[in-house]
Amino acid sequence: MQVDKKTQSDNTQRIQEDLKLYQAELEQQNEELRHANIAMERLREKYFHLFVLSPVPCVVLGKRGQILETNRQAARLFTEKTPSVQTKLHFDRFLDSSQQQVFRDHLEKVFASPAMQTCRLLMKLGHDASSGEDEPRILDVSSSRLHSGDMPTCLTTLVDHTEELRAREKLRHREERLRFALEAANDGIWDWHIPTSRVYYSPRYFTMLGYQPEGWAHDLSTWAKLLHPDEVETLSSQVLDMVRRDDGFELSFRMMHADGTLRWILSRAKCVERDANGSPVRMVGTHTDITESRTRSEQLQESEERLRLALETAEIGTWSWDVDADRDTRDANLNRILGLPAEGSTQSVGDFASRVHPDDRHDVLEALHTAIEQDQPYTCEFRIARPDGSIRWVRDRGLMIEHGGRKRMTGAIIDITPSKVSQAERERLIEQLELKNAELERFTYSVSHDLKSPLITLKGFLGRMEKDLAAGETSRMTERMERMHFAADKMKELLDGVLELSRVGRLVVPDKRVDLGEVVSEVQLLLAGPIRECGADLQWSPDLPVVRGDPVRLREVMQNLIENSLKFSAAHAPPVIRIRALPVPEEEFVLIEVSDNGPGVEEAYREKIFGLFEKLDSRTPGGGVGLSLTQRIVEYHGGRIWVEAYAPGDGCRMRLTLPQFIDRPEKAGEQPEQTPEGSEI
Amino acid sequence: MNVVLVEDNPDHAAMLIEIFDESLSDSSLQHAWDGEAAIRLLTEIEGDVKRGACHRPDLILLDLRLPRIDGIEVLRRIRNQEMIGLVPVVVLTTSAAERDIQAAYKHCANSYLVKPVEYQAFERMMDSLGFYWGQCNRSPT
Repeated sequence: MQVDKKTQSDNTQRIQEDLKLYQAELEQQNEELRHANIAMERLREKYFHLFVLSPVPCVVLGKRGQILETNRQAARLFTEKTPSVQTKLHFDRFLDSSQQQVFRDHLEKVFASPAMQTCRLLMKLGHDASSGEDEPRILDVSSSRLHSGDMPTCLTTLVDHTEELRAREKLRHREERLRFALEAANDGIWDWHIPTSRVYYSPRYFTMLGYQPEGWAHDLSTWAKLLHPDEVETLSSQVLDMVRRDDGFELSFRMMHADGTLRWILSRAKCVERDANGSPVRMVGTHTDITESRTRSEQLQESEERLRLALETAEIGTWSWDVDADRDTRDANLNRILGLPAEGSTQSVGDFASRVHPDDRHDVLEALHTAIEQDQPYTCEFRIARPDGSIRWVRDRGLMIEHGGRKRMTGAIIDITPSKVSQAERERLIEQLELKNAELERFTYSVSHDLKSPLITLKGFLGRMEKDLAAGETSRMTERMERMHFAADKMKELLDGVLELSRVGRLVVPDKRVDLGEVVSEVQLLLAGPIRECGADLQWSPDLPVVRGDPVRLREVMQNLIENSLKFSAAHAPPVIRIRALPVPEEEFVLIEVSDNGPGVEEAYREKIFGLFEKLDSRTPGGGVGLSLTQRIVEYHGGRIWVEAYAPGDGCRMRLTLPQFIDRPEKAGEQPEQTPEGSEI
Repeated sequence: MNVVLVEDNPDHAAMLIEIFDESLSDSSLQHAWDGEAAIRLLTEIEGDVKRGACHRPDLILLDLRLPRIDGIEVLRRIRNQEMIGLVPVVVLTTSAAERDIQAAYKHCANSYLVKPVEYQAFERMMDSLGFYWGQCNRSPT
């Protein structure tokens, strides 16, 4: 049993030692646990701060999406004003209506799997409402399930990408717009980093020259390769020069198209970056194909030149009148037409109006104003009074153009003086021709009628005589033969008259100085016999004028008029004939009156007496040619003859006008007498 | 046959009167020398006819180219008269001008004759004229 006791004590001692060991171990474990606890506590604190103070909004959500916890950022996200922890609110409340299902799916995945789940949500957040912004915000949501605690929860972080995405969207739009603009503009782009000589070329840069955009070196050699060989040298130095000096440049030069043709390229560049010394680092520019517009502008220039030449050759003046500002721009041709120095000028329309002939000015201004008011084309023919006193006829046309709210009228003026002159000449000729025609008709009529009369008489009495002879009747022979003689004489007289009349059309020396006083005294000598026979008293005033005309013809006129007065004298008294000059209102003409004391001409016959072969009394001598002839001569001198109205018994008052002789020494000197006087008379 | 002749040419008038005397023995002929005289004469006849002092003429022979008042004017005035206006008017003239023919018919001439130059033709024309207007034609009584 002793042994057993010893053994028992040994065991107890061993257990005691073991217990001591255990105790030490426990104490050590306890210490470790305490340390671990402290570490845990630190960690918890650290994570708590991390969670609460994190700049990333975080929430802890329950399984149904109820918000259990929020950090400050999240709270700020949900409600701006009270950044306190809001709980018991449901996350759904902040979702855009379209997002409910997305969020439910997200939560389901989170609680079904241990891995972190993400999704993008459109949310309506508190501070959006207060800022009046309706647009939902875009948030990336990441959730991880939390395993601690007895109720399933998850930690969800919310990252607001709205601004970033919107900015990116905006940028994309802008880029797209730029791309569209560049495509529409057909421009190629280059971007040149000067220190490295590297150049970015846009695809369009190449395609506009007919090349594929790939496979080109990204440096200046590409540009040089595509340039027209003649341009390379001068252009390179020019570009470098400009780059050093300016902020940008604009150059046009020739480049080679893949098809071998030349293209005119306009390059516009701008320096976008400079180094500390101010030297350019980066330049960006565009290439625009201006071949077509350049060709067009060359064509335009050419056609403008052609037009200018045409206007100049045709002597067409052009003008452009800014109605509101009253600025009238005239070209050189117009000033030439106006008789001004041949340079373009700008004046008021009043200046133009002052150049218009005073008699036409009112009409021109009225036509212009009517055109403006009624917005109609303007056209007017009028006279221009040049500073040197000469007059030009012009035709003026204009069109209203409204440009940018400003009324403008442009037009052209052409000098139509020559055509006006020839038109007047033509009208004068036509009038003359019509007069001649009428005269010819009258003449033919008279001749056919009046020449036939004596013929009928001759033939008639010949017939009578034949009958007489057949019957052996001779008693009326003498009477019949007398009638026949008379008829034959009459016929001769008529024929002479016709011949005489036909000659008047040709005034041989129409511009002579003729003193009417001398003419009358000549006629007095010529008619001395008849005047003495009837005891006539012929007197004329000493102031008879000097006229311009054919002296021989004018003597015939005076002779006819005096003879007429002698012939139709009063039965009871010797003829009294008076010739005098009367004052006349017309310049360049004189008025003469030949009056007598005869029976005169009744009012009804005062025109008729001038008709060919027209006689008021068929029994008086003469062929009815005298007055007709006189009228013709006076009219050929540009004058007029008529029987002046007078009371019965006052005798005849014949009046006529003739051109006054105006002494023009220079003209007389220029034109010596070339026509032999009276050769045709 | 009762004829009024208006003729300014004394030779033509003499010739016509001779022919009338010869071929129309029972005719009477009154002669006016010009338009004025013609109107005076016809106005006188108009009054006489109205008074019943004489018969209306059977025919007026009218020249156109007359001094003072021409034949067309005379014709116009004849047609304005109540009695004389019913008398046939034969224009007898040297003029063959269309406008004279037109004017004559416009003013209601009954016939237009151009004096022939040949005497035989003239005589024949006058014969026919006498026959036609004196015997064939019926005028208002």
